[in-house]
Amino acid sequence: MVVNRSRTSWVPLLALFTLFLPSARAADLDPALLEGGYRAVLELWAQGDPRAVPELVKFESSIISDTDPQTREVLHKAEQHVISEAAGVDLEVLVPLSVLHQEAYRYYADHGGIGAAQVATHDRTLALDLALLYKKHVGTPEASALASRLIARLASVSTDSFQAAKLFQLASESDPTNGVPLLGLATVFEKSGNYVDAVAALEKMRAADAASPAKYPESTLRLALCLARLEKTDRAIELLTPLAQTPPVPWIGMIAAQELARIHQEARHPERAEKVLRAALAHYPGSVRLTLQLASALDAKGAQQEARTVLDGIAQIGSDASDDSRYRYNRFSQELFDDADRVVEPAGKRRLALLATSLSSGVTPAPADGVAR
Amino acid sequence: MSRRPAQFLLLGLFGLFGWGGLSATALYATIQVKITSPEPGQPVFGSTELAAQVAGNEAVARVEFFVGGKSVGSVTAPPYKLTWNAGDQNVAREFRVVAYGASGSSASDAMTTAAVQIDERLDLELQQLYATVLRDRQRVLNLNPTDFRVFDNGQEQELVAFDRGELPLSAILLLDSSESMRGERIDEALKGARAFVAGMRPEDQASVLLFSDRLMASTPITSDHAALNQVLTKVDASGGSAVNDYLFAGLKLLESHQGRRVVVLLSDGADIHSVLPMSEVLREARVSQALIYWIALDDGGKHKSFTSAWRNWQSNDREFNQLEKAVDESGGRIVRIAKNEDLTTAFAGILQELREQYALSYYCSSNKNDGRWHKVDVRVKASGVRVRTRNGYIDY
Repeated sequence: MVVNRSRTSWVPLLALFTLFLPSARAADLDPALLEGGYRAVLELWAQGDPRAVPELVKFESSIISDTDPQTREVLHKAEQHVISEAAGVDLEVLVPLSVLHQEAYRYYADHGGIGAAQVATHDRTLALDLALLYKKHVGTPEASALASRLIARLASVSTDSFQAAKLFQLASESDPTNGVPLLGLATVFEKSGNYVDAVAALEKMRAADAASPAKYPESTLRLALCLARLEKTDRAIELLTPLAQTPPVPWIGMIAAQELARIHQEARHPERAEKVLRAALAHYPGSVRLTLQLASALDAKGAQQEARTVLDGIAQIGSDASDDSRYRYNRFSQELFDDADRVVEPAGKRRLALLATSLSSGVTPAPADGVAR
Repeated sequence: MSRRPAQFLLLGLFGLFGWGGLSATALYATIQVKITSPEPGQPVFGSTELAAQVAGNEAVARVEFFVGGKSVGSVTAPPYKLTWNAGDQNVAREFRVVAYGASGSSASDAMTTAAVQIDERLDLELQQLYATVLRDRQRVLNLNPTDFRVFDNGQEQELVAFDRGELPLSAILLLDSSESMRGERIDEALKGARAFVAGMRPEDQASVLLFSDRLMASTPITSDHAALNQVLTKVDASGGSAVNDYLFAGLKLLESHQGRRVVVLLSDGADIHSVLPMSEVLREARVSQALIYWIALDDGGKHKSFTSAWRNWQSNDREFNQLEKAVDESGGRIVRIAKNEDLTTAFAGILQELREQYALSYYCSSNKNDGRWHKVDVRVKASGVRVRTRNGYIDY
């Protein structure tokens, strides 16, 4: 039986939940009421309404209590029931459902997730499981590729490095031809100081995409820097030199030059560092960081007067606010987001109509007063 | 898109995906050791920390440190570090560490520090020290030249000039404008810096550098208050922190300026994004002889023991400790601030302290411009007082 509510009817229904369940206890929760509330959110989402995300957050937050973990289980079962019914009509609805819970998790991440640890975990877990179920039950290479992107996108917004590593690993396993999750995995390892495993992930990524090693120059940069930290400086120099001399992307070329110069300086070859930095300044005239690094190299060489002259140039430069290269390096690659978004967002939107149809097939409608069963 | 019939269960799925296969690092060797302090390529003088990191799958019996082939001590329990006096010679030194496992296995690491390279002789024969004298945390303001005794490498020196803090300042105001400073915090920081500028006398000069992981705005060194205030009105606080890079820049900019050099650094944490290690900054601090004041918001310890893509936590902690060391060695101090509204008071307090310092000048009879480290000791002939000043300099 088709449930055909107008869009304006969802909000009062959801408001009712938050009114009656301000501090939920598992024993007080009515599964039928929860299913109705969740279904209302999904119907809003199926119409392409982005308000479904904050509504889901509000709904789940009013039920899940950090002090009573059983509340999460009760909600989980209710949501499972609704999802099972919808997916029973068409498995493709798992994709927009995974995206919805991923967006809810991202909402918590963006807002700090304070006081909502259980709810955030619930949405992250559900988003992941829906992606894995999709891969398992659809079983095609296309489904595996899409599941990989869904999981990588979830990993990119994960606030916990251990979970992020786990998710990137799963994304990579879901589609071994997709190298991007390995870049994410390597970044997690690098940020936690585990350079050995970072190198392993990056080497694996390069091996998987041996035909086009220049495809992801960031992986080459990260590999070089991790090798340098493991004191494999010869190979690091070998990898960094072409990136510095012919920058594939400006920010990568900038860091390659800085780190190449740093390696030379640490090896007590300030004259080599100077050469790298002067060449880089020809690519990036007016770079404050390259200028001060050059001053440092000149100092180390014993040319203090020249170092002072070089550094005094900073006063003329004034600011260099657009150079966010080092800040950027400390974050997940934009490539991760771009690759996942490019696939996931349209895939989710294309399936919203299927979700609407699935929700309206064989479902008991809510009574006219807006309260389910 | 595929469509499938209804048989579909979600139950039992959660928790199926266990964590495995990520810990690729297997330790085959029984014991490994690495020197973590001092840093290779950097000059060492005076009291020097020797430290090593030991890893492996067996108990450590002892870790022994060698300098120039001679044992200088050993440690039997973590942390594996000791303090050794490197003296004042400007020479390269070879450091070696050997870790012995309980089973008799051993591992070693070695590295060499550098001598200071010199291409010029600066006319720094006249040594100037700026001393803050405290009794019960109150500054003592009524001392005379005869109350001071100055020792340079242990030899007492004759004072040729004595002033009470009225010497002009050349100051660099380094304001961390990273994302964590956004909002009221950066507004108060700008206000505090404006208070510092307002307190400057006509003969004083300063430069302002607003930085995050990049240089947001700066001025040349000037005594023009309007020019300084122009960049102290508003900044879009964003990005991370690169304290080392901009502290180095500030110290280097001061080198070509005579008189009392001061760096006032305001930051709510330690370095994350710099390309320069703190050891480079420490060396520059010793050369520039500038006083470094660090206004440390949130106790400055917020970013301790963290990791980033640039450094692991051990390295970050080392950077943090070396920043503290650079401040201490310079004769400046760390001003710890818990509340944003105390920032103006902190800036004003530093300026007041500078006005109440004693300036002591002497010609060192043993200077040879050989890059040696000269240890400086200032004593006051009065009971219950404490003197804070630069504790040495490199003889250029």
